[in-house]
Amino acid sequence: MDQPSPTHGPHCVVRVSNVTPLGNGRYLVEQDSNVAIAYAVASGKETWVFLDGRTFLVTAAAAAGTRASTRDDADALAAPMPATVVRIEVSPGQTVSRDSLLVMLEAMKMELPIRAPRDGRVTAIHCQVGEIVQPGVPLLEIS
Amino acid sequence: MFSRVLIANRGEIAVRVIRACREMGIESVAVYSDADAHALHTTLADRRVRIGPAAAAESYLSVDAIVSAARASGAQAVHPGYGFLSENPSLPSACEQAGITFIGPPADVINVMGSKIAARRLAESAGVPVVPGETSADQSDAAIAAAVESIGFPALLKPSEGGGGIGMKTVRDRASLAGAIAQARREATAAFGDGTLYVERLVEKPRHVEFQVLADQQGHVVHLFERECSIQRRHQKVIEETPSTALTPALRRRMGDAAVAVARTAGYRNAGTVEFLLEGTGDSARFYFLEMNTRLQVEHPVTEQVTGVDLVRAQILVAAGEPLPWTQDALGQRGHAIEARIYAEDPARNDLPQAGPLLLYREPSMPGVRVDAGITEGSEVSVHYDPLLAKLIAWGETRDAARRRALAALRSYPVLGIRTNIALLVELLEHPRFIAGSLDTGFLDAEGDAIRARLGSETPAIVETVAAAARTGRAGPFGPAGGDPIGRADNDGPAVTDPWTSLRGARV
Repeated sequence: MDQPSPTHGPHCVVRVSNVTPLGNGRYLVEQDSNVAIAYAVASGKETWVFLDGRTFLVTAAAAAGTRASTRDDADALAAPMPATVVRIEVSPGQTVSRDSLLVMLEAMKMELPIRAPRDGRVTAIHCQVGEIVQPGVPLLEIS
Repeated sequence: MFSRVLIANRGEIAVRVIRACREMGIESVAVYSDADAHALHTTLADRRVRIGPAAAAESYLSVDAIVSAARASGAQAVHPGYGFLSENPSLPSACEQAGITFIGPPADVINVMGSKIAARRLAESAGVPVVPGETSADQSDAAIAAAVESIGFPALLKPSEGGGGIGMKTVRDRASLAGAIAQARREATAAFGDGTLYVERLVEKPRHVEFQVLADQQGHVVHLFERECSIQRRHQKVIEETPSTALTPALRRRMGDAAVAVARTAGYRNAGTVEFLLEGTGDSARFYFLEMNTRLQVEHPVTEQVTGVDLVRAQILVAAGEPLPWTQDALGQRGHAIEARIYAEDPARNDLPQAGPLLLYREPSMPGVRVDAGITEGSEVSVHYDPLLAKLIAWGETRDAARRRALAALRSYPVLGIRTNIALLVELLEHPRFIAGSLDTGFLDAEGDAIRARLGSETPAIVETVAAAARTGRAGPFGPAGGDPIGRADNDGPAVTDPWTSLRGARV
């Protein structure tokens, strides 16, 4: 019932490591004399990996680790997931201050507030109440 | 006994009930919305009926659609599962009119327990203590604010028609009161179609301890001991266990008697759960009636694992008119069980719900571990419904044995394609406070940030090597590409080419 000792960690100096595909998304991971099974599946430019209870999303270009999946500020004004627009709190031309509520979305029974990333003026609104919006598509624009 | 039962639900609970039906030789009828045309539960039942479009209001929440499906499929009984229509008295009423048995309590009992005010009155009349609180007849914002002021801060605002923690807001001071009332009202209206709010004094550092009860049509009522559900986020449970580390045999007896008294006073039938807030631990602890859930609970498997009772089977038997097959004295607790809920949400991004395809999904299989899932590899997690994917239940002779089994299983439970809370569950089960059993409902609020911070660690180099191997699309030793290991640049070890050699020591 005991787990194999963790195959990674700050105090673990990796000297020898091998990864052998076993088929069906399973990979034998050997580091020194430790062995473990990892699971991986590629999807477009991203690859999902599971190892010892942790899930990682590795992007081919960056291969920079877990931060690869976090979105930058540019699409903070888009829905983080498919969601329904419940309320729009601003109108075009209105000035808004950082962190003020712009649009309230709802998905999976939860309210998801979209807030202003900075002070500015609303230049355009691209959504309407009741509409189902997709991730990555801008809901509104701030100058 | 019924020969055909319709399951008015989806996901893991529909799968659970379908399995119970099959074991009992009863035909099962699954229902599904357009979003669930390929969902697991519809593929496991004996029959399936489409009930409407993806929107729950027009499918799983439509009494007409469910009763029509039951009629059309010739089902003699309807099992509501949990959530959706399970606590809506219109379903048992409509079933009765259609001559179909509802596998649950009578409509009038659901009505009483669905109203926080009526349920409190009933508990008080049964001699069971309740938390100070009120629903003012005047539901204006000013009257709600006045009610909060009279009960005192901190207070809780709850949808009167609610359940599952949805729309519940804590108000700590006067400044946040107006905003909290508006938000609680909006969420109550959105979730339950009724913005009526209930105001309650917040019991600080309480434990959430609930008792499972079962009642038959002959008037027998038993309890099947407690479940501790103190690990919650936003009032939604994450980890549940039984027995509770806070109860002594004497306290357990008092709370069990109180739960049975509530059920008996209500004229309860079938399976239900009496929830208590527990202040303190041991013989000196005080408990307050919180509410009664008039349905099967998500966390029912932990009770099944320690009592050896199949609660879904028992529900079907008593609905068919059979007497309970055991007395209170015949029931006992053996060992310890822990349930961890696998949610489609990203713990690193404020538990944001996730939707998408399950590209790879493998359930762990090992002694003492049970997985109740509503999905399988290739399933699509849709945005339309609850983010609960599966429940992992571990049983052990002791609490620590159960905890270690749960950990071992979670570490061997790959769910790829969407983010899940599995890494968070591992951290929770390894947390010193969880190990010590020193829990209260504020645990995740207090410790959550520190736990989440540990999740955001760097990707180990070996993970990038695995990712590179997956990207190259090699089929592995069982496919045409052969079993060449993909070494890292710093690999100075011998290349292993024999797949059977490389399988040595593999964990399966």
